[in-house]
Amino acid sequence: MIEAIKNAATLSGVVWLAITLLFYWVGLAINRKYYRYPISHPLIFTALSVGLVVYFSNTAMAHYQQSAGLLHWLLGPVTVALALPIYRQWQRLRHYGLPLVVSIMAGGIVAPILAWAALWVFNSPISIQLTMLAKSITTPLAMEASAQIGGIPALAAVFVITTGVVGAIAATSIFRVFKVTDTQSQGVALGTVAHAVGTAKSLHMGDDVAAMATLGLCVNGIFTAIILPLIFSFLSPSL
Amino acid sequence: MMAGTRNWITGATLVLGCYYLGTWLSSSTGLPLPGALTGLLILLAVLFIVPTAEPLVARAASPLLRHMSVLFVPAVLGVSAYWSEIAQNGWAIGIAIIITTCISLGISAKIAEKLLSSRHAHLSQVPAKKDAAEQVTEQREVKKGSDND
Repeated sequence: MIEAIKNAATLSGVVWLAITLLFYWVGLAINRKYYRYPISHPLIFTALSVGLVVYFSNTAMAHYQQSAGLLHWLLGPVTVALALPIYRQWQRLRHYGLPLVVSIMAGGIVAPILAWAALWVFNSPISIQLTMLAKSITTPLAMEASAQIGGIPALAAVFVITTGVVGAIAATSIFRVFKVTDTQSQGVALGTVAHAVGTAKSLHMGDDVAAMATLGLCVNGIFTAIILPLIFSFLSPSL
Repeated sequence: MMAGTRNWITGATLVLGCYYLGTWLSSSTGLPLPGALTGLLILLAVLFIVPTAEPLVARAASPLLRHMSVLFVPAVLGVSAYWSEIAQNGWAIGIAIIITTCISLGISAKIAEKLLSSRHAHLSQVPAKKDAAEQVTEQREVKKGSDND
């Protein structure tokens, strides 16, 4: 924490933080205007713009990452802060009980296994395969979990966001193809498979749908982030 | 105003305390859990034991949660180091993300519908439940988005 603040207090720290926040502010405005389009997620705009500035100013990416390290450091506390939405959804979780937990877990198991299987078939590098296992959970947890099991946290963040955007865009057609009409079940699937971006999408489908999506996001996030490292700590001697 | 600042500081201290306690616990006990996740579980326990802490935590945590997206920027830009690996496996990654996400979304919605409807059936004494839920969603078909991460 001290080091992150020290880096932020240097000139390049201030400049790069300001640039990042400025683009984020623009990204937020775009997202507010085009909230119906999941591709307008502010992270996509912000990361692309900042990436371009870093590239064209001939800055080393490591230098940028160090300068804006305060943002990265905050990922830890924000992960802890996820306890708040989970706490607030507790009553609803208790109300729906086991059937809800089981359906969230089913989604939480199906999604990473299918994604991993696709990479396995294509014989992709093991680090990418491992990273893919965390793609359906919310970004901070996915980064933590992938680091723990030998994946690549940076890649996990990109996989997670892409998954969310794809899920949110495809959701309506997918639910039609699979003939799922119950909106609460749609919410559960969106939150479980497409985490926060899916949850943002579900906000347009109604409050109770969004609440179910938030539950899917929280329960699957914790479930996956606990189970994955556990499984791998048992497997690791053989890997 | 003063009370607001004090609440913010208390909440932030609580979140940070849980964070550092979590990382310390995870690293010192060799617990196979990421430190931040351990911190999350500790904070959750604190909230259950001391429910009055909720507004304090909310005061510090809500702005952070609402603007979580910007915190990922340095991390996401780190992928530039893996560019060649991604390019080499572009097809596989694309298929893994696009196709399997769609299939998983369908399957888990289907499972949820099966399981939740059996639950509805159990509660068949109050069959109005699902109808009421549907009405609510119809009313709120167009609703402005807010949080994005």
